[in-house]
Amino acid sequence: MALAHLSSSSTALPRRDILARPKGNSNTGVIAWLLLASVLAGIASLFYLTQTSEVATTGYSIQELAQEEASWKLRNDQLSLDVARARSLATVETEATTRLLMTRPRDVAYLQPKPVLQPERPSPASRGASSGAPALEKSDDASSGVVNSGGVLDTTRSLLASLLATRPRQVER
Amino acid sequence: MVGEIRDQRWRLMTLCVVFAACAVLLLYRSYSYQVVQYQRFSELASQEHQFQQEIVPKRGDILDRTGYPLAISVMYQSVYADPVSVKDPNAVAAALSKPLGDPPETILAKLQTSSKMPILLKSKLPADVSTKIAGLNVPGVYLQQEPFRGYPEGSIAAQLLGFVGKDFKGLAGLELSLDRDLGGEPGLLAAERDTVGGEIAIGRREVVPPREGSDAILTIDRYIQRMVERELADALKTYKAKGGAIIIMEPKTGAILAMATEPTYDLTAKDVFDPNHQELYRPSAVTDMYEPGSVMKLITMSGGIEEKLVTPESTFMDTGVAVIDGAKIRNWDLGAHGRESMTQVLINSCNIGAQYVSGLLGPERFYRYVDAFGFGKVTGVGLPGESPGQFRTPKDSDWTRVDLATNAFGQGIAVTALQMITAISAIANDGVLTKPMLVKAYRQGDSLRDVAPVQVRRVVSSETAKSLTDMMIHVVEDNSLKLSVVPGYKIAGKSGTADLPTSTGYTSGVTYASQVGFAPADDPQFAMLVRIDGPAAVYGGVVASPVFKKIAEQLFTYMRIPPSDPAKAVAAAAAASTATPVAAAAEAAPAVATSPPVAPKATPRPAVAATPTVSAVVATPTVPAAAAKPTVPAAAAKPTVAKAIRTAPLVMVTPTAARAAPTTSVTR
Repeated sequence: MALAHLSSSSTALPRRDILARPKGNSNTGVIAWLLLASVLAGIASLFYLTQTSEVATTGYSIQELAQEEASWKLRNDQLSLDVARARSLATVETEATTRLLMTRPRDVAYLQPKPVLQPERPSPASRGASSGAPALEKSDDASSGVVNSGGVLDTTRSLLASLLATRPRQVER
Repeated sequence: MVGEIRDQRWRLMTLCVVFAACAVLLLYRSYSYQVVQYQRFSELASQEHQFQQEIVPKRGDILDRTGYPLAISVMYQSVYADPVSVKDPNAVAAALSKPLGDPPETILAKLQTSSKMPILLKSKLPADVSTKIAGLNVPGVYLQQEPFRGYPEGSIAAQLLGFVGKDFKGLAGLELSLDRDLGGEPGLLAAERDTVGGEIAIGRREVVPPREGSDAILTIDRYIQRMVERELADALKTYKAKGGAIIIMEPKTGAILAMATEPTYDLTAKDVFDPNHQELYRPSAVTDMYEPGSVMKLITMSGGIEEKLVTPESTFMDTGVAVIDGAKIRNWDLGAHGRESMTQVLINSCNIGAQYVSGLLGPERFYRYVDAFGFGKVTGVGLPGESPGQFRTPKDSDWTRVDLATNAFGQGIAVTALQMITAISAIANDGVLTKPMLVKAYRQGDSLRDVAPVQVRRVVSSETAKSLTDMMIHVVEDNSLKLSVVPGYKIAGKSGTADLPTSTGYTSGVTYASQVGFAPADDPQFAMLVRIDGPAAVYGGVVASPVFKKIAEQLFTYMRIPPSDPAKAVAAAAAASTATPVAAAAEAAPAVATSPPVAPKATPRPAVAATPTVSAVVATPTVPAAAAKPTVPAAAAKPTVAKAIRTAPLVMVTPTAARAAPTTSVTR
């Protein structure tokens, strides 16, 4: 009744306009919010999917690298066996006998080095006159047990003598 | 109009009912799958999605005492083909031919099979080949990793090391007895997989890491082992023997430096195990028994001296025969030695003298010493199938006093080679028995777990051990043959010869010829047992002693053991180097060639050992022709000479090419 009274006493168009205007505004707002929410959700999903696929791709790359690492370790392992074989006694002997033309020894020679004699301490009276070089025992080749091939040992002996002769200060105290 | 509306309503209602029914049906099925059958589908999904895989641990390596590997584990890949997935065998054969190095026809022949099982195309591929094949991505072809046991030193110490089966579990030797330490414990990988079976990178992943196998560092020295195996092989050829054993041990620690046995097998053969030759796979030095013969007199004499029943100088009259319960005991040469001392009993290897001492001891004390020296029980060295040996004691119903007599000189008593060398090592180790050991340490990553030597018990006093040592020195130096003498070195030793018994007695004519000893006698660095089985020349002193000497000489050099009498060593070396090559060859030959011992059986002349040639590269020293004498004055300088010898290493005239420095460190 109230509505009928209002409609008969006032202009219908403005009322409808007044009534209709808020309705049209709320629909647009909702739709706009919905659209915005959808867009945001889409972006978030996209972001999540991108991250997930990135992680998955990286994971598979890691797996590939792990397989490559395993392959290199395998190679290292096999090389370690080759190295061990190269250092084996059999290989050393083969190389020694074929390439270096060595043979197994027949005899073992024993060398008896001369004893290391302590040099005589010169007395204070003879300090200046002392040559400083202790006299080495002369070896009698016929009775010596020292191998005297005449070449290397003689040279070594004379070198030793000359070294001792030039170092009197280290000997004297 | 009303009728039409009613029709439309009815059709709408019908449609609604149909849709509702479908919806109810769908809901019911969903409920059925997701609630009622949840468990079943969950398990199916889990099986499809989850997988568990055992992670096989790497088997530990076996190294020698210097760190060189004797057995190592290496992973190789093998290439397989799945016949169901291979659609074009010709293409597969063509693709794989080049990397595998096999003709396409060979590969095609393997692929053309009616079997649905995977086919092995080639195993043990080098890493570069397997990488190439993986890169080809041939459909139906895949690679599988498999472990392989490699032996870088070749087939040395085969019976000692043993081998593994296809499942990489130990089947013989140390591979079997140390299987738990070497094998490690497997791990577990639990992860998720995708539809093609690959692991999902971001999926759930749980790993229980495996415990890798420990490396076993043995007491064996690869150089000594190889040298000993070579000498044993040469001895079998020279003396036409059936087999033999040589063991070298450190008396103070029980560490076994080498253990060689013949016959043996080839570790590096493609198929190691041959069911027709199973006797080759047991470590015969600990599993096989033999009668030791005269070497046992050392044990008898130890007991007699320890109990103060005899001394090395005690004498008795050897009449050449002893009658025990009606049985006649005779000497090996069927002779009588007259009045002789206990030392001479050992030098002459007098059976009558030995049974005299065992008679003085009596059965209770005699077998107590036999037991104390380790006979009759396993040594615990850790090799599978070890035998305790066998002999009768008074507790056995069939024991007689004849056993007491014969056991005294090593007949009627069966021992293993390891038991005998362990007993001799007790004499060398001041009278203390040590437990033989093969493993020096275990290594896991960076941590090292040492195995300590075990001193089992004191068997005889230090004085008794010293007396026995002196007697054994006399045995080596004063016997008529002197075949184990190394000039300049004091060696304590004893030879032995025992007949191989048959069911009718000692009638086989086959002997075990042995020589035991240790050196240097005053500070033993090694004890050695040489046993040659069934040689043509029969006697231990003739057959085993020269082998003992050859090995001892090489050990003195390798172990840098200076001579105890340098003058003698120098003199002998000088004399040897001035001898002509022919004369030297005759010198090197066993003395039996010129003076066979008096024996009831004919001793055929053994073949002269081949003399290795003197290399032109080797600088043989030009020693003076006269006998060498020390140049130092007597008395005061003598200790200095000895010191000089000890501090200056012996000069080797031959290149020591074999002693490359190890890079694998086994120190802590």
